[in-house]
Amino acid sequence: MLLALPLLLFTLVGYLAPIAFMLERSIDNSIPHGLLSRASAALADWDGGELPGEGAFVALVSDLHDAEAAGRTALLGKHLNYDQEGFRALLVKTVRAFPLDGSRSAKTALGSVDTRWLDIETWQVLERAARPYTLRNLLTVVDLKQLPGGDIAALPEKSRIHLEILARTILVSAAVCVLCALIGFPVALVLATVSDRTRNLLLILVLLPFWTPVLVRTTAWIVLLQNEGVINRLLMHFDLAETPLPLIFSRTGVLIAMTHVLLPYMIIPIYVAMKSVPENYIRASLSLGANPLVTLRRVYLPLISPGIRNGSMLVFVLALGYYITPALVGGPSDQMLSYLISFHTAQTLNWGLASALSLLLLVSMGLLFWVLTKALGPVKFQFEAAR
Amino acid sequence: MIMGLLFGRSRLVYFGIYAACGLALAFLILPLLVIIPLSFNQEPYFTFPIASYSLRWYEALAQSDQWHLAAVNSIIVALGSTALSTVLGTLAALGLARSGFPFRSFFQTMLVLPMVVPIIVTAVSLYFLYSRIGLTGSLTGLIIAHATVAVPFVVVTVGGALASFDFTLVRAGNSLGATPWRCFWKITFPLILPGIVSGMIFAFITSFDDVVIALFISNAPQWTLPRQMWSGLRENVDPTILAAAVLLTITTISLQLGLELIKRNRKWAA
Repeated sequence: MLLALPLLLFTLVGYLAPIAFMLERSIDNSIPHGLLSRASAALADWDGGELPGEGAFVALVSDLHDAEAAGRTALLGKHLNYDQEGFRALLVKTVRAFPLDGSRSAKTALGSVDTRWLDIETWQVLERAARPYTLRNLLTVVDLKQLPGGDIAALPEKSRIHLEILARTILVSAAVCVLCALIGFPVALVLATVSDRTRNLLLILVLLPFWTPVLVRTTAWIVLLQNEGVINRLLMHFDLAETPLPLIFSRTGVLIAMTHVLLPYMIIPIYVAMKSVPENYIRASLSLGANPLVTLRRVYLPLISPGIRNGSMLVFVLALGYYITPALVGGPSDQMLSYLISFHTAQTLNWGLASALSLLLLVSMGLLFWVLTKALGPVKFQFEAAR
Repeated sequence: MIMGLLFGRSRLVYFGIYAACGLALAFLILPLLVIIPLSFNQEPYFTFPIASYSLRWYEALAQSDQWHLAAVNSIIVALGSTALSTVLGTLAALGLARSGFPFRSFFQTMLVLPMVVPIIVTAVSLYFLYSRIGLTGSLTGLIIAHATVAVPFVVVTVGGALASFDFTLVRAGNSLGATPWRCFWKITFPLILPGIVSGMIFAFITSFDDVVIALFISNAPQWTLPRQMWSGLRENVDPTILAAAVLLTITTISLQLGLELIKRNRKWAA
């Protein structure tokens, strides 16, 4: 019993903790909260109705002073810009005007640097940005934002991309799933029909690509699909196309490559289900007078439907989170949630948003899985085959 | 035969299914059939027919310090994470196999998580943690990360082997005076060895094929083969990458064949 403890600890610390840590990060706001600690305290009882008192202005000035001394004005500005564009410029402008004239009140001094400091909306944004937790990222991933006054509104049109990318992710995954089912079905049917010898031979043709690393298969599709690639050269050689078709960095390319990568996950469960259908059932149905089509629809398909369901769900769920293939084969307008997560992790360094997007991906996966199993019946994944 | 019963009456449908199956299998195998010959192409073009064959890209691969380093890194990381996940996973499977384990279903759900959570989410969350505790940009970090993802497979395969293991054998050993340690090495271990080896192979492949985790938590000095391939693919695809791809493929396919052999042997034994 104690033998499982090391792994229990390893998984808790090495896996569950980072996941929890990441989910917490989607609402974490500790950087601006820490840098605006005095202002945050001074604004604690502020009701947001009218401009805060002199105390808040003094607190802000000393926070900004410290931030500048620590070289963190840009960092603070970056975070405040997430809430309101232009805030970073305002901070930089303000800090440049330091030291402020000590003979005047902090309020008048800041107001003379920029009149926006006398605008109540600036303070409403600042007050929210100085809290230890924020809803900003969670709202952003569903294309919403909080207005300075506290109301929820849609993001400006140019940033309203997240739900569209979520829809695209679901659509592409569903399309891949349907393609896999259509292509996989006849393969499974033939595998379940032919002699053992032939089957082993055909199975090798399914398993070899399945065992090939995904990155290698994606590389092969890049070689095949690119403008000077094998397919385009062939098409042009036989005069089937005059100019190279845009296969790479296109939706077509993503669908082809993802279908190829995920197809074995569909074939194997359907084949397993087909193998377990006793031939007598079919014979019985036929001898009782049902014609083959009726038998197919009323007897055979219901018997193999668990296999189709398992395969489809597996392909769909795997496709939802797929990263490598769409990232390498797709164009900018084919990218899915997974790409956006990596983009905000490695490029914009907006980790809060990357975390919120991961949460969105996990929640959508969970909801879709739940709805589909409720609607279609239970699903069993065989993980050994599902790698 | 079912196919004959259902579709035998219409020749068109019958042969249609065979044709569809043939096309699908061609689609599946096509990429492999394309990159293997192209990696031996004398010219740096991706076209057929190939005028002359050569080993030039394999030589380029062997002479490149970068690819050399990547290969060494890949092997170190794969062996390290295999060792770590095999030890932890085997111990856990042994613990879980005894009845009366508390929170068993919770534990099993928790173990399945790395298999269902998309790898990008896992990679990003590991990156956030590792960058805080200084494990990014180190082979140790990569080993631990790969072990985290690989360990469920070990638990599953060793658990599978233990499901058919007869624990009365251990009791017999105990009653004859063997210490638990000796019982394990003389009785349990040899009998569940196929399960352990399968788990090891799974773990090795998981690490050896991974690119997404390496993308986030390694820097250039720790790049593995797939990571090195990725950066080449991002710039321009030159045939050296194909040569590396072929070598990577040969390695994983031979390991998978080994796995298949173990599976079959077990079936015969049972």
